[in-house]
Order: sequence, then C-alpha cells, then structure tokens
Amino acid sequence: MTITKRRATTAFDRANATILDIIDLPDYKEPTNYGAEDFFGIFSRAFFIDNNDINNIKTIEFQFLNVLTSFLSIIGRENQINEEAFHGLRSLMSIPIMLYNNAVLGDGPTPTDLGKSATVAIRSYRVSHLHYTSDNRSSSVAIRCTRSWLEALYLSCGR
Amino acid sequence: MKHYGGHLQVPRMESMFCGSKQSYKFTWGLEFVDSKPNSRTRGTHLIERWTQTMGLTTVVALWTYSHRSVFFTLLRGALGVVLLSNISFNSAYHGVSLFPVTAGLSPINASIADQLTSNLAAVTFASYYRSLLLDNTHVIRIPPLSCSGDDCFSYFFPGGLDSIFPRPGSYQQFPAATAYVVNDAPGYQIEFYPISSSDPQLITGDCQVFGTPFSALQICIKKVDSNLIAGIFLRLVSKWRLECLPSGVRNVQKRLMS
Repeated sequence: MTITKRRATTAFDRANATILDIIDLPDYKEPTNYGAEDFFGIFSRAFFIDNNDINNIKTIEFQFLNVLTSFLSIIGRENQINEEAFHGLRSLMSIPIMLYNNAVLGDGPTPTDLGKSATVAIRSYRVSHLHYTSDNRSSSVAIRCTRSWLEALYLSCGR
Repeated sequence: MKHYGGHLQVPRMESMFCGSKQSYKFTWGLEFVDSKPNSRTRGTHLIERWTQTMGLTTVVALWTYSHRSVFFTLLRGALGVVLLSNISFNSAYHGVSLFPVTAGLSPINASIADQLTSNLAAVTFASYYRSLLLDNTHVIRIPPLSCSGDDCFSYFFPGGLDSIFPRPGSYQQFPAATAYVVNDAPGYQIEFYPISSSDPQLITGDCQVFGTPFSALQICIKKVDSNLIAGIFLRLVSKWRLECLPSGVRNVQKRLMS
C-alpha cells in the first residue's frame, strides 16, 4: 500500500455531490510517512470492546465487529484469496485517511495548504478527434498536423 | 469514285423549312470510303479522324468524370470515417462564480479517535466500510503511480463536498451551473497491490487483536520504507481461521494462525 499526497482540481456534481472529473492533477507528489500506529490508534477506538463488561454484546462496537467477522467468514475460505475480503481490507485502511483528519472530523488546526477557492461552473462537452495519449511532444504535433491535413482534404473533396 | 464497302458515320446538317421558318436538322449519315487507305479522299479521311477523336474524347471525358466523382465520394466517406473515429468527449467547465472556501484533506490525526466516543468511531467505520471505495462522492479511480496490472488498485481521495467550508449547499445562486469545481486542493492517492517475494513477513508484533474470545479480528500493519503492508486474520469461536490473506497493500502472504 502506497499513500501519496497530491493536489487536484476536482469537479463535483452540484445535485448529488458525486465527483465528475479530476480536471487537473499536476505531477506534484509528496510521499507520506504513515506508520502502523497511525492506523491502530483509530482501529483500537472503533473496535474497542470491554471484555469485562457482561453487557458488551449490546454495544455498537460489538455488533459492528460481529457483523464484520461474520461477513468475512462467509466470503472467505481457507487458503483462498477472496476479492471481497481484499476489498474489505482496502476499505478498512482507507477510512482513517478519508475521515480521521482535521479537515473532516477533527476540530484542530488545519494546514495552510488546503484549497482556498471553488467555482460554480456550467458543464459542457468538447469533442476531440484522433484522441491520443502520447506524452511525446513531437508525436502530438505530428498527429495534429496529420489531422489538419486530413480535414483540409475532406473539405476539398466536397467541392 | 468507286466504293468498296468501307463506311463510317458522319454528322450532316440539313436545312429544313417548316412553314415560313427555316430550321436545321442534324443527322448522322453514312459516308462510304475505300478499303484502300491511299485511295480515300482527304475530306473523307479527315472526317473519319475527327469523328473517332471526338468520340474517344467524349467517352474518356465521360468515364473520367463519372469515376472521379465516385472516387471523391468514396475518398470523402473514408476521410469522414477516419476523422470521426476514435473521438472522445471531454467535459469542459465554464466558471460563473468564484468564492473562497477551505477544501481538501489534511494528514491523518489519530488523536481525533480519542476525542470521539467509541460508539461514534464504530459508527463511522460501519457507515463507510462496505461502500467507501464504491461511493464516488469521496473517491475516484485514477491511473496508478506505483503498480500496474489487474491486482493494482489506485484511488484518489480529494475530500468530499461534505468536508468543504462553507458548505456548497448554502450557495444557491446560478442554478443553471450544475458543477462545483474545487480548485487546487490537497488529496491522497492510495494504491493497493500484492507484495513481492522480497517483502518482509508479517509477524505477531505487527498485529493487534480486536474482539472477544469468541469472535475476533486480527489486523496486521507493517511499515516498509515509505509503504505499508497490511493483513487481516479472523477468529471465530474456537480457532483462528485464515479468512483474509494479507493483501492490499504490498502483501499476499499466507499465514495460518493457531
């Protein structure tokens, strides 16, 4: 598992809050230095069960853990890697990153590098021909020139 | 002048009178020629050449024109197919109003869990456990940086609209603008992929057990360089069973707990 901090310009649907697009995702990458203690500090709280309490079966923590273990026991078999189980593991490891930070659940100070502006925008579509994925500048120039030449030829054929 | 059977058609123009009007009738007539080339009159010879040349030219012109038309039609169709193939539709966003917000994700703060009641912490996990990675209000798949292949899962968490302050829902102007663009905000890319044979094994010291003597979950996490290896093991009633192999993260390590 690799966690990398990146900056992005993201478009959301104003009606249902879903992510529409990552409009801009610069190459800037900042490695993180998270360790096991960052995650265990959160898991120990979410899965805490007091085994000295005879009524612990009535707690939310017990019920959640019971549901979770039952679910994993159903979908998993010995010596068989189950994609659903992997999905569960990935979700468990993602929740602390998404929720347990000062910008979402915490009320502590937030870093100064948070996003500072948002835009209400009208969405439209742009059609692009001869879609290419090459990062090579000369390739992209060649493709654009070829496309322009083909378009000119197309128009001249109509006369 | 004798004629020995050879003949060709030549145009003839005859004047005609119809009442008081004079008109001309253009007809084709037969002109007999000698079979001996040298015996033909010069006028007959010229008429023959002229007719053949004009006829051939007309035929060639007609053939060329019709085929050129067909050729250009086909070429135009082919170019149309080429130009319209492999097109893509890209979204474009035209901003109508810019305003200040605080948006994005900040680093993990484990002490937040201590400030919550354990009930609330469990509820947050229960709420998001099954759906988080499928819910595109908070996450979107993006191309990976550290891995490739079918077992490589790359997610980007930009921070949802619910973590933006002030809340976007409080902004009711410009109802025709259906998008909300958060500019240049920090987020986290998380990549999950199998471990390699050179990665270290998870040991008991990397794990913590949560639950009761009858039902428990063991979660293991180990830091390796700037990456993490994680795994889950499950205990039901009387024995440890291997229900979920360490994965996700840089590990597919088989370990049966006992």
